[in-house]
Amino acid sequence: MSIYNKPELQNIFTTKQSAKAFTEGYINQQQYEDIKSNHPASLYSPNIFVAIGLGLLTLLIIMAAGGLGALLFGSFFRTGTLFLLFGVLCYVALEIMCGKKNHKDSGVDIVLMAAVATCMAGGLELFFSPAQEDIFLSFLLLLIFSWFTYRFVNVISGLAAFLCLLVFVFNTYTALGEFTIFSFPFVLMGLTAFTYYFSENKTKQNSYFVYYPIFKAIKIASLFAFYGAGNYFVVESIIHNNYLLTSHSALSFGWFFWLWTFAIPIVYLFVGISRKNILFIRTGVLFIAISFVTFKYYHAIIPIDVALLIAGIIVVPLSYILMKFLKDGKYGFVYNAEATTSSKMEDLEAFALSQLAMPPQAPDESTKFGGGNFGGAGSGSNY
Amino acid sequence: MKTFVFESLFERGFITEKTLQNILTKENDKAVPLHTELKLLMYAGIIFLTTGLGILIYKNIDSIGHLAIVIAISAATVICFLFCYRKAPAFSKIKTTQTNVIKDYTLLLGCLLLLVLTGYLQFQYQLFGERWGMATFIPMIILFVAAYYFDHLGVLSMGIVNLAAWAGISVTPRHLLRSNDFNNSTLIYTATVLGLFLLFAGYISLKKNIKAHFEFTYKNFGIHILFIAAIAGIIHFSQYELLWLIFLAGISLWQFLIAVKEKSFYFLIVVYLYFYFGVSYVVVKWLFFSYQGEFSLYSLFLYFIITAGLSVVLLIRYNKNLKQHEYIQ
Repeated sequence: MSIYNKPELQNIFTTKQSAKAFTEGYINQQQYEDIKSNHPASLYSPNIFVAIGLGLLTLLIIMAAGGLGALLFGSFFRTGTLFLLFGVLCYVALEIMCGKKNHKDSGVDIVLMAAVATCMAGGLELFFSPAQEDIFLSFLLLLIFSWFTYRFVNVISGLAAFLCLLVFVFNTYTALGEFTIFSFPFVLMGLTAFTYYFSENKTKQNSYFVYYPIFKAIKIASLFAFYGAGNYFVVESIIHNNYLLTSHSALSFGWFFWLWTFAIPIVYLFVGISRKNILFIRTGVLFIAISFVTFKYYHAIIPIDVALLIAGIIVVPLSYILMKFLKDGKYGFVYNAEATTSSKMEDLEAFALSQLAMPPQAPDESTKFGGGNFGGAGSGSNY
Repeated sequence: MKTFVFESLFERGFITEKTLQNILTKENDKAVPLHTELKLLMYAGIIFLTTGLGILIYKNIDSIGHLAIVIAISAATVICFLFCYRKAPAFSKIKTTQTNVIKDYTLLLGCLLLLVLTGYLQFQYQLFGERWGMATFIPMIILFVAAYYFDHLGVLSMGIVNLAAWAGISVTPRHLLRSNDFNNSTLIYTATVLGLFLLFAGYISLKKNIKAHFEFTYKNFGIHILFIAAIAGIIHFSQYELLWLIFLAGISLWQFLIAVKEKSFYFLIVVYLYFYFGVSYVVVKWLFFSYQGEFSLYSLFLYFIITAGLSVVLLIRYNKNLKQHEYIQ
C-alpha cells in the first residue's frame, strides 16, 4: 500500500487542478481559496530549487554516514554485508521521512531511494556473484524501483523502473543466442508500444489518479523509446557496442531502420496534428530534427554550414508564418504572444540567451603560433 | 484538466453548475496552445542561421574576400537595428506591454551579428589595435542601450556577459568555472567588484523603477559572480583566509535576509549552498592540517553528518514558514 493516505493525495490533486482552472479563468480567486482551504494537505513538497538543495545535502549526509560506517564496521563485516546493512538503514530513513515527516518529492526522498537501490543491488551482487550479472542487476533494480513507485508515488523512480524494464528485457532476450541480433529492435518496439498503450489507458482511468503523473511520464518515455528502438543510429550503436552480440554482425534490414528513422517522426507529427495532441507534435518535430542529424552522421552530402543555413532559411520563415497564421487560432491551434510572458520563463529565457553572447577576447599567449617547435614528434615537453 | 475533479467539486457545492458546464464544454473544444513550441523553433532557426553563416564565412574567407564579408554583415546588422527602431514603441521606463515577436527576434539576430562583426573586425583588421578591451566595450554599450531602449531581457544578459568580458571574466553559464583562472588575484578582486556592481544595478532598477523587471537578471549574475569570487578568495589568499570567510559570511547573511524578505526560494538555496561550501572548505582544510590519521577522517564524517543534517532542518523550516504566505505555488 502507498505510504501516503489517499484522501490527502486526492486533496493535493484537487487543489492542483483548481489552480489550473483558476489560471485559465474558469473559477475566481475566492472560489480557488475556498477549495484550497477545504482540501488541506500536510505533505511537504517544496519547489524544484529547494528540492535540489535538500537533495544535495542529503547526498552529503549519506556519503559521510557511509564513510563513517565503513570506518567503524569495515573490519567486522564483508563489503557485501556492509552494503546491505547500509541499504536497510537508508530504507528505514526513507520510510521515516515519507511516512512520519510527510516528505513527498522533497529531494530528500529521491536521493534516499537512489541510495537504497545502489546499496541493495551492489550488496546482493557482491553476496551472490551471479553468473549473468546484467540480467540479475536489471531485474533486481526493476523490482526495487517498481516497489518505490508503488509505495512512494514517485515519478523519477517510475521512470527508473521503466528503464530497468527495457534493459532487463533486452538483456534476457539477447542472452538467448546470437540469432537475437536481428530481432531485438522489434522486441523493444513491441514492448514500448505495449507500455505506451498500458500507461495511456491508465491515465484515462479516474481511479488511478494518484499515479497519474507517473503513467504520464512513462507514456512520454515510451514514445521516445519506441522511436529509439528503430532509429538507425541507435540500433547500429547497440549492435557494435554490445559484448553479448557478435561485434562483426552487419546490420540486417538496414532499409527498414532508415524508413523507421524518417517515417515515425512524420507519423507522430501527423497523429499530433489530426488528434490535436501536443505531446505527439513536440516529439514529432524533435524526431524530425533527430532523423536529419542521424542521416547527416552517415552520409555527408552537403557540408554542415550549408545544411545549417538551409535549416535556418526554412525554419525562421516557417515559424514566423505559423506565428502569424495561428494568432487568432485556427484548426484548433493557437499562438498567443502575450500568453508566453510569465516572468519566471522570461528570466530563464534571458539566462539561456546569455550563452549565445561570446564576445571576442584577447588571444591567449599559448594559442599563438610559435616558431615550429613541434619537431621531434612530440618527444619534447613543450609541444 | 481532469473533469471528474470538477464534477466532484460541483456535487460538494464548491462551484456552480454554470462553471462546471463551462469547464466541460471548453475543455473539449479548447484550442491547443503552441506558444513555447513556436518560440523554440524560432530560436533554433536563428541559431542555425547565425552558426551556419559563421562557418560559411570561416571556410570561404579566401574566395569571398574580407571587405565583402564586412560590408555584408554590417549591412545586415544595420538593417536589423533600423527595422527594430521603426517597429519599437517610444522608450518607456517601465516594462513595454506591447509584444512584437518579430521585432524581438530581429533584435536578437542584429545583436548576434554585431558580436560577430566586432570580433571579425578585431581579428582581421585589428580595428582597436592592442586595446582588446575596446572590442568588447563598444558592443557592450550598444547591447545595453538596445536592451533598455527595446526592452529585451535576452539582450540585457548578453550585455552583462560583455561587461564581464570587458572586465576580463567569462560569465556565460558554460564558461564560468571552466574558462576563468581563479588563481589570479586581480581576477578575484574584479569579480568581487563586478558582482557587487551588478547587485547594485539590480537594486537601483527596482528602487527607481527603471525597467524593474531587469532586476532578477542583474541579481542572478551578480550573486553567482560575487559568491564564486568570495570562495575563490578563501582558496587563493590562504593567509587572509579568515578575512575572506568573514566577507563570505557577511554577504551570505545580507543576501539570505533579502531572500527571506522577498520569499525567493531560489536565492535562499543558492546563497546557503555557497556559504556552506565556503565554510566546509575551511573546516576540511583545518582538520587535515591540524590532525593526522583516522581522527581527522572521523571528525570530517561527523562534521558533514551533523552540519548537513542541521542545514536540511533549517532550510525546511524556512521553506515552510515562507510557504504559508505564498499565494499559488
